[in-house]
Amino acid sequence: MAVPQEKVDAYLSSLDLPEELKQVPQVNVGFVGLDPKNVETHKTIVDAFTSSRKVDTHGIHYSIIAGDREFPPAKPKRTTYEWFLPKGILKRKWMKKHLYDLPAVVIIFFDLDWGDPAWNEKKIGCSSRVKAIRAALTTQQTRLAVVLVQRAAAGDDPQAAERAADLCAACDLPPKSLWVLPITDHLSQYAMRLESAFYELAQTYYHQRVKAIRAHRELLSKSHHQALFVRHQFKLGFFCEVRQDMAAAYKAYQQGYAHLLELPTTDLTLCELKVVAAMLSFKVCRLAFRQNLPRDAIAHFRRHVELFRARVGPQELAVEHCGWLAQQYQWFGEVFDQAIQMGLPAIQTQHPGLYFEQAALHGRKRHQTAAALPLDGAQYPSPDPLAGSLETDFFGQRPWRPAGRNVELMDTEREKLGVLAIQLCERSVNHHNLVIPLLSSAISHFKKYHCPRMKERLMVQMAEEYALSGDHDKAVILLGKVLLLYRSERWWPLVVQVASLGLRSAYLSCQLEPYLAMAAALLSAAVPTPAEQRARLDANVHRLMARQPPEPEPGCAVAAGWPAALAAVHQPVPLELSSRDTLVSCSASFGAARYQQGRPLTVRLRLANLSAAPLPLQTARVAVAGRGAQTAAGGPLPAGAERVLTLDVPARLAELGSVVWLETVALELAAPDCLPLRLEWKLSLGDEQLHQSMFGLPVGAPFAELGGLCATVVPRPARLTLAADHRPPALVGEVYQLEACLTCDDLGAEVTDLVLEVSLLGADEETAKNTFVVYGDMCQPLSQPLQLPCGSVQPLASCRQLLGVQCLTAAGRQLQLAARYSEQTEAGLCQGRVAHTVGLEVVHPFQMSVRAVALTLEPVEAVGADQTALLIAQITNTGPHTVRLRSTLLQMDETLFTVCDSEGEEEDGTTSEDGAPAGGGLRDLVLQPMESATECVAVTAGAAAGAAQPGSYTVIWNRSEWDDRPVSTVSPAPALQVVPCPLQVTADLPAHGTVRTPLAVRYTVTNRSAHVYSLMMLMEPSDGFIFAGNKRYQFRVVPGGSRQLTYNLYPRLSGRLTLPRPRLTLYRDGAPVEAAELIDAALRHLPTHICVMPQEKGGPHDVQGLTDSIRAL
Amino acid sequence: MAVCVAVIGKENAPLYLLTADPAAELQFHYTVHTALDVVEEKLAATGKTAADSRELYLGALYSTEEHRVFGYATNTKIKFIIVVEAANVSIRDNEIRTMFRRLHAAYTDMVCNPFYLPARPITARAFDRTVRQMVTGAS
Repeated sequence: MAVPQEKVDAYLSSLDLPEELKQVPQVNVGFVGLDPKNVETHKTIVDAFTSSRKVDTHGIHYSIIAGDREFPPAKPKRTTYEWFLPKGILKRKWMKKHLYDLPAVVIIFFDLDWGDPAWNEKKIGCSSRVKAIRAALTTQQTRLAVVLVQRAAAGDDPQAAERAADLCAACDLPPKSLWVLPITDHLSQYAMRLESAFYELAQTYYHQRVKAIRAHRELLSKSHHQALFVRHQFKLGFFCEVRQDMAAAYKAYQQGYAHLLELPTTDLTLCELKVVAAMLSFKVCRLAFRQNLPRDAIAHFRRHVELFRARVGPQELAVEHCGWLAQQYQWFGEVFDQAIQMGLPAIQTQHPGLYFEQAALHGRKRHQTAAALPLDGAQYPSPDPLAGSLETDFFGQRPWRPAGRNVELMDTEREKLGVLAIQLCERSVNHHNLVIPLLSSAISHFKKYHCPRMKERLMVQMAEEYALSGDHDKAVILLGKVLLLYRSERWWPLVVQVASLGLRSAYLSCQLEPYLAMAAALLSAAVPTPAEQRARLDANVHRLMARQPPEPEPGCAVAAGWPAALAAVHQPVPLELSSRDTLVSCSASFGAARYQQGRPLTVRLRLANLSAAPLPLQTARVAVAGRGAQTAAGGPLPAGAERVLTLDVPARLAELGSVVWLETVALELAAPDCLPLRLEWKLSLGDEQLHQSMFGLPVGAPFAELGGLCATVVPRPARLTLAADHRPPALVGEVYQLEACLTCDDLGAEVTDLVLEVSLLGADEETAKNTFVVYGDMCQPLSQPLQLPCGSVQPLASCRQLLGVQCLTAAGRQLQLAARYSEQTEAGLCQGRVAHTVGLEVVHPFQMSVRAVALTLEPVEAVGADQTALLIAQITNTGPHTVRLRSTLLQMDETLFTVCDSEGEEEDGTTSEDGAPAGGGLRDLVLQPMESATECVAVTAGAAAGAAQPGSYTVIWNRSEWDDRPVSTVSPAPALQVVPCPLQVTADLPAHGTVRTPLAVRYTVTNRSAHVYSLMMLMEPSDGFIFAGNKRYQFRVVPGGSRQLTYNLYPRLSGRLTLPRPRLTLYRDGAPVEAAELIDAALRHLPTHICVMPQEKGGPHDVQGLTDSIRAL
Repeated sequence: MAVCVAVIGKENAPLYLLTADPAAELQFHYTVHTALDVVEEKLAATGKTAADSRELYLGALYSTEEHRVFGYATNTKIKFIIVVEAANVSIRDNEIRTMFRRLHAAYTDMVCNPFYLPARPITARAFDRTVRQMVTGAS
């Protein structure tokens, strides 16, 4: 028989910890003489006190007491407890009395100003009110105080002191118990001050109570009054708690608990014992947390539970014990949680969630025990034995027993009825509604303290509770979530359990999609589902597909909603499968690991029907990531059959270089009169097989023969071949001719939009700047690549492109030729590219040197003014190519030098037609490799002296095989200095002489200075010559003038003979002076030797012709 | 001695689980699975300080009213879990350590078998025998 809901509620609330225990005890202060409902000022006063409590640390409970209120009387004080037997442990009303009914301090408010005209009358009124209250409290030790509510601040009223003393005397109050409360703007500050005064007063009251309780203890005997020991310790703890003496309170409660454990227990008193133990433990644990002793709290609680877990009591009330245990864990979890909110840190292995979880566990046990009770046909007893269970005198005593007679069994029949009532109430309690909130707070705590798996386990428990309470929808949702998590960790035994639970719930709630999902989870090949269950599930899935309700799960009633649920389905039911082998073994893969750009991707889909009946496969769809699905038609798949479908996925040109992967595979199962079903596999990149294939691990056997789930799109092979035709090495400065040759193959259409790109690979900036590419009239440095559009090439044709490359430095270069092109393919216009690298060695074409010599062929660095020097240029072809020198050009500092025109001296008489400044004599000279050419150019210094700028020697040349562009290569010519030459001596003599044939030598002394030089010339004799002329001759040379001295030399010997050497001495004022510098400069370039030929035996010979030929050299 | 011994793979999938009472196997699956929360937390905490000189024995992971759960993690992230009864107070930490060491040795021997594929459930008989000895308490 169902028990009425209000009785069940009453029963449940009787099991809870009393409310007054749970709240933190506060000082109880009573206000008398205030009427906040009718008097405005009184209301503000009450508000001032009650609102200030939020910020104040004193916990004070204010109660407004009517003037004629009766207070609970104090019990007569015992002097001996000898014959007193306690009837119970803790009195139910005691806490309430001290919290609400009996104030520690009564404050009497009275409106009275010091300067009140009717002082005496009002004084009497006040004292009579004090007396009335005092009379009401006559047996209690409650403190009294008077507060005078005054209109204005007291200031310095002269009457104040006198009248205060007067009033105190009239009311029989100590002067300290009289205060004044002016109604001003600072009311709340006055209130705060008064509050601490009240608090002080209350403290003395509670202190007195504590002392009184301690005094009792002396009178108690251990043998009879054990319950009183507990009671006194509880009271002590309570008052200490009110006094905010937490340490003392904690100690007192602990002692009370210790005394409680010493009480003798029978099955009859156990209930009371457990209730009081819970109350004491609650206080102990809360105070331990409050004092920041969480370890002590936990230890106490553990001990508490350990001690009482085994004390079940009478077996028929085991269900009550389970409830009690659950309640213990619950309140401890709540207290722990409160402590955490106050700032206590918790850790993963010690947090409130663990206790809520245990509470839920015991709650579940309670439910199981209650369900197992043999209560068939039992009637709820009348009169209700549980009536008044909240009004028993003592906590935890049975309401059906006579008050206070809990110790001995009085009436067996009533006892039985009482137990039956409890059992019936327990049976009617919806335990799930109690357990689910516990689980949900446990879950939130486990989540907070990083226990995902614990959370999952609790979610399963919660789902079980929901299922038991009939809320299958919620159970299915929870189990669906948990299933994914367990499956991702591959805990198959748990997957089986969760999926089986889910399947039951889904069956009972007639939910098609969850039912199929759970069945699929159990049918997966990886899951160790028993074979007979597999067969049953498979059959059920097929029944569903045939629009028939499935067989009920074992132990389930037939769910009636299935036909309606199946009839409502018109769209394909999506069924996401996580395992490859569920119902259908499905393996999808690319046909190859690499696809060329623009070629279609082939996907192979291997399907095998794992179920016992044919599957009406309609279409198979494969989706490659980032694009739409590709559909292939299928046919019915008979049981056990295997089929391979191949799908072509059109190529996308933009996928070049990227990895494409299979995203989903879906099979549409549909047939007439059949439930349409869509099986979906998500082949995400996290997929196990893909994971394995990516890391090269061995993959399952069926997969090995197929490719992977991803493939790479690679460029197509180049249609063009690129070659460079050239004659290395390149010479510095020349425009090097290089022919790029692009040949197209015949494997496709014509190649269009051909662009040839020339660039330098890995060249530094300097080299890049000194490299130019010449194309047509364009010449640009190769610091930027050159792009040359080349049009299109037909298959098997080729395209040649001539390029010029000019390198101005001799460093080697890597020239890259690249061709970009487009080709028309089946997938659209495809871009292609081919590259070819040319290593280019660059060498200098010549080795050139230009040196300066005097006419005597001695190297010189300086030339006298008006004198002539020779510049000898040598050009050696060091390169491997034959080079044609087209012309040469010597350029000297024009202000100082005149370059002798060599034109007249050309042997072949060809002159430079272009009128280039003369100064180089070489024209159109072909130099083979390693050949040299030398030319000599005379330069004459001008009259002015000075340091000349360096000259230059330019050779204009080209390779003999490439005729077009002449190249000029410049080499520096030495910078000759022109020195002043005031005195110049020249010798005029034939090129050679003949033995015993006189030869005339004429020395000319020229004065280029502004002074007259007086000179003496002395001819030193020479062995080879006899000479005629002045041997010693003194003369003067005027400025600008000259003097000639003629000698006839008669060579005596042949060969290279030393000429008689003239010596000059400068005279000044008739005496020789030292002027070595002047003289040396004048004589330096005189010839010192001459070649004398032996006399010819024959006739005369052409001496003149011979002389000319020597000059030409 | 132990009521449950389990070997958990690198990716937290169970490789082996033996219980003294086969009927309670599912319950122990839950117990071992939830113990992984603490194992992971402990491994994450030690991983930061000294990865190489880490103590393999993780100590008591958690305890319920009925059971105490101990953990051990090899350097290759294979986890061993031993569950003992909470009532069995005679068993000392040292004994648990010894059991873990034996378990580790047995596992190492088992892995040395070239026919064993890593991360697959353990079916080796020699390993099973060793674990059964631990569960029954025979040494």
